[in-house]
Amino acid sequence: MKRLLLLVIVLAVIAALLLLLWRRLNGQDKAKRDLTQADASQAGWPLFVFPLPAAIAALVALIGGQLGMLLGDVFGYGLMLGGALLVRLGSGDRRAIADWLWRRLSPKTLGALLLAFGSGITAWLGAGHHPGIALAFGLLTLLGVHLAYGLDLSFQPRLHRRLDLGAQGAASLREAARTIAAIEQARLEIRQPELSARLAKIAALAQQILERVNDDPRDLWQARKFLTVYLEGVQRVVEGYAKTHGRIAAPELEQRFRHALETVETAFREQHQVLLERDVEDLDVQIEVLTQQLAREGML
Amino acid sequence: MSDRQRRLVGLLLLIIGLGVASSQALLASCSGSAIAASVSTAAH
Repeated sequence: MKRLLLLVIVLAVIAALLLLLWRRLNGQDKAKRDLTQADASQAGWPLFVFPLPAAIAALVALIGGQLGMLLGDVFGYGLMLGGALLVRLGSGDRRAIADWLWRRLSPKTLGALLLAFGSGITAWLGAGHHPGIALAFGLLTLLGVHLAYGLDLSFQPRLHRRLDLGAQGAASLREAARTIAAIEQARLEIRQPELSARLAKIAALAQQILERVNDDPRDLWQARKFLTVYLEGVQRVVEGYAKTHGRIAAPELEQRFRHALETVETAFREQHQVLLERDVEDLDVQIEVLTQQLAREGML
Repeated sequence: MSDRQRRLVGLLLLIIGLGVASSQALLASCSGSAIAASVSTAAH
């Protein structure tokens, strides 16, 4: 009898949630809110509400002293909660926080996998289902997240970008970072404020170029000469000048060094500009794709 | 299938995948506790 009552309560809660959801979806269609707002506001609450019985189950199992069920419920609920948080993170405008993840795996996809895994664990260890049935629960959850929130399945660009950098590219970046640090170190030994300031600008520009390449490894090819030839050349010249200029006064050498630094600064600035323009082109393509997608779905 | 229908189907699947699995876990916990309590009562 108690079991039947509990089932009725659970069904009533589910029915109430469905009703609320239906009203919410209708309201959104009427209001025609923009895509980001709609996605961000929708993402979340059902994923947090639906697994709640597992948390209560964990509490009941704890009170009843059922260790097996307690572990299953706690682990399952923990996974589902973590997955819900990740899906929400991937749906809202929180790209900065999730940036590190985006380069590897979309938070939404990772969250969906966690939710599916949590659902399967709960069905298997919490509810006592056969592992095959638990797998079915997990797959249903995965499909549900995909249909309701739209998983980002475009692994190709991310994978492509990672492969582009490769071990050799990563080594080049590390070497370039060491070279910049050496230039900075040598700069401190040069007592002429004007030259020191110019070197500081060059080091900052070099750092910006390095960051761009790190952000988008496709820029590695574009910046390869900068990384392998110019930067090391600058390091050799700056270190050589830092050693000699204190010992002998050579106005002609100073003038040539100044001129060389001006040329290097111009070259680095142009290199940085080229990489920025490339980013603008990429953004332009992304905007075009988004516009076409919105048009296809009747939003425009 | 329109976008709204797709989302609704997705949410229904989530109710099954997350809601039903969790609810059944809750029922199993309650049943387990009830059985444990009756066994304890019978033993006394």
